[in-house]
Amino acid sequence: MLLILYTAAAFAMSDFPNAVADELGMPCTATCDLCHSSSSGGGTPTQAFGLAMMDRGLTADSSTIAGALDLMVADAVDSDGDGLIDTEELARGRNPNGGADYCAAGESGPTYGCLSTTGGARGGLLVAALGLGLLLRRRR
Amino acid sequence: MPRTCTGWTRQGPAAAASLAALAGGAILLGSPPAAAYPAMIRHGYTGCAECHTDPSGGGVLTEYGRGQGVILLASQYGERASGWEPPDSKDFLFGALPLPEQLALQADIRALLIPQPGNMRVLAMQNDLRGSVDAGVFHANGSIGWVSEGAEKAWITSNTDGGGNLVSREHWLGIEPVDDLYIRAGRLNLPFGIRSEEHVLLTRSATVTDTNDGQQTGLDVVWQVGKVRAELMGIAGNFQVSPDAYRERGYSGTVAWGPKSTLELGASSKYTHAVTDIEARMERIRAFHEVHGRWAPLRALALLSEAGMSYDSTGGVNSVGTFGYLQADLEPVQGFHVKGTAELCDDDLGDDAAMVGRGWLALQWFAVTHFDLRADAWYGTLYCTPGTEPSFMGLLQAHAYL
Repeated sequence: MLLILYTAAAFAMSDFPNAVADELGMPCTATCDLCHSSSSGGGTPTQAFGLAMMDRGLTADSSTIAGALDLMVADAVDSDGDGLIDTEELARGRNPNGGADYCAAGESGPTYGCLSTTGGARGGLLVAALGLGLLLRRRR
Repeated sequence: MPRTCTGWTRQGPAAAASLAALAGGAILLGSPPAAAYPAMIRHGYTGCAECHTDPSGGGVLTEYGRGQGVILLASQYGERASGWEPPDSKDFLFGALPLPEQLALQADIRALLIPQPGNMRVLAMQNDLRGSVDAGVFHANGSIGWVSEGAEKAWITSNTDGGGNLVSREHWLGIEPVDDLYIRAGRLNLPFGIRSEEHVLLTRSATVTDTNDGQQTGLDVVWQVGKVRAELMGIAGNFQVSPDAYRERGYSGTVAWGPKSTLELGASSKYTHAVTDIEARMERIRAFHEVHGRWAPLRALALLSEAGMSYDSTGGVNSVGTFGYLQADLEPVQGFHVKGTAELCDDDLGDDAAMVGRGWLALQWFAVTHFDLRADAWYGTLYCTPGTEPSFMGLLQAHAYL
C-alpha cells in the first residue's frame, strides 16, 4: 500500500542559495534573502536578483540555476546599477541587490564542525569543564 | 526526578496481524533524533527520567526504559503470563554484550525515504552511537554519529565536498548534588516546549529548538519539587559553529505542572542574541514565550499542544509572530499509532505575507522491540516561511535501535 506522494518544491528550494554560492564561488554561504524578502525565504522572489533569475528561466527545479546564471552573465545583468554585474558581485561577496557587502563586511560566513575551526571544540569543552568545576567546588 | 508511573509489567491486547501489510511501505513520518515520546503520558508518564538518561527526555534509554519499550510501546503478539518480564533481548545489541550497570549504550539507525517525481530520495537521517555513564551522583552523556547531509550545526568534521560528516548532537557532564536537583554542563537539547519526535514541526523551526542540530552549549539546571518540574539553561553558544560572532547567547527555560498523572501544563521562554545571525547576517535578538500541555483523556488517546509568540529584532527591524500546534495521538491497538497534527505559524504578523500552516497525518508502527516504521503525509509548508505556497509531501521512515 505504498502511497504515491510528491515533495514540496519549497523543500528543494532551501538548497538554492548554496547552489548559487557554489556555482559562483562565493566567499561565504548564501541565504534565501538573495532572492526573497527574508532570510528564511518563502513565496515568490521579490529581490531584484531573484526576479532577474526568474526572467532567465529559474524555476522550482534546481537544475535551472546554472542556466539562469549563464544568462545573467551573457546579459550582463546589474540589478543595483553600481557598474558591477550581479554574478561578479556575488563572486566577490558583495550584494547584487545593493546595500552592504553580502558576506558581512568581508568576513567569511559561518563554518561548521569543530575539528578545523577556531576555538570550536576547545571552547565547548572549556565551558563544560568550568561549569562542572564550579559545581564540584561548591559541593565541597 | 520525575515521577514513576506504571508498573514493570502490564498485560496488553494483541496487535492486529493485519498491520503486517503496512510493513512494506506505509507513509512515513519524520521522527527526530531525540526519540522522546511525550504521548507516553497516556501511561501516566509526565516525566522522562525513568526511561531516559537525559532527565528531560530523548536519547539513551535506561534499562527500565528499554523494558517499557517492550511492555508499552511495541506490538504484542499473544497473551503474557502473570509475572512475565521483558527478556534480555531488550538490552544493548539484543543482550549479546552485557554492560556494567553504570554504562548504557545505544545505537540508533534511522533511514528516511522521500518519494519524488521520478526517483526516491534516501537520507541517512541518523546513525548515532550514544552512551551514558552513571557514577553515583555524577553522570556523563554523549553521542557521535554520521550524517550524509544536513545537521550542519552538529558537525564535528567540516567536509563540504559531499561524503557526509561526523556529528555530535549532545555531550554533557552532570551532577545530582541533592535529590531532585540535576545540574549539567555541555551541549544539550534546549529546554523549551514539548520534546517530541516530530523535530520538523513548524513550532520547532520557528523557535529554533529542532533536536536535529539545534542544541547549544551551556549550563543547565533541572529541579523537581512535588508536581512541578522546572529547567533553566544558560546558553553560551554553539561551539560547533565558527566564528564566535555567529553563536547565540541567552537562556531557555521551561516549567511544567502535573496535577494528574495524565495531565501536564507548562510554559517556556527563550531569549538569544547573536552578533551576526547565521541566516540574516546581521545582529539579531530573538525571544519566544509559549504555553504547552499534554493530556491523555483515554489510554488510547493523547493530546499535545503548544502555542506562543515570537519577538524578533533583526538589524534593528522588529517583528512579532506566533506559532502553535495541536496533535492527537491515537493508539487503537498497542504499537500502532495514528497521529493527526494541525499547525500554524507566522514570523511577522505585521507584514502582508499570509500565515502558513500544515495538516499532518502520520502512521507509526512499533512492530517489534528495537524497530519501528513510520509514514507521514502532510499538506502545507515545511518551514515557518509565510508566503510560501502549501504543497503535499510524503515521507517514509524506518528506525532501529540496538
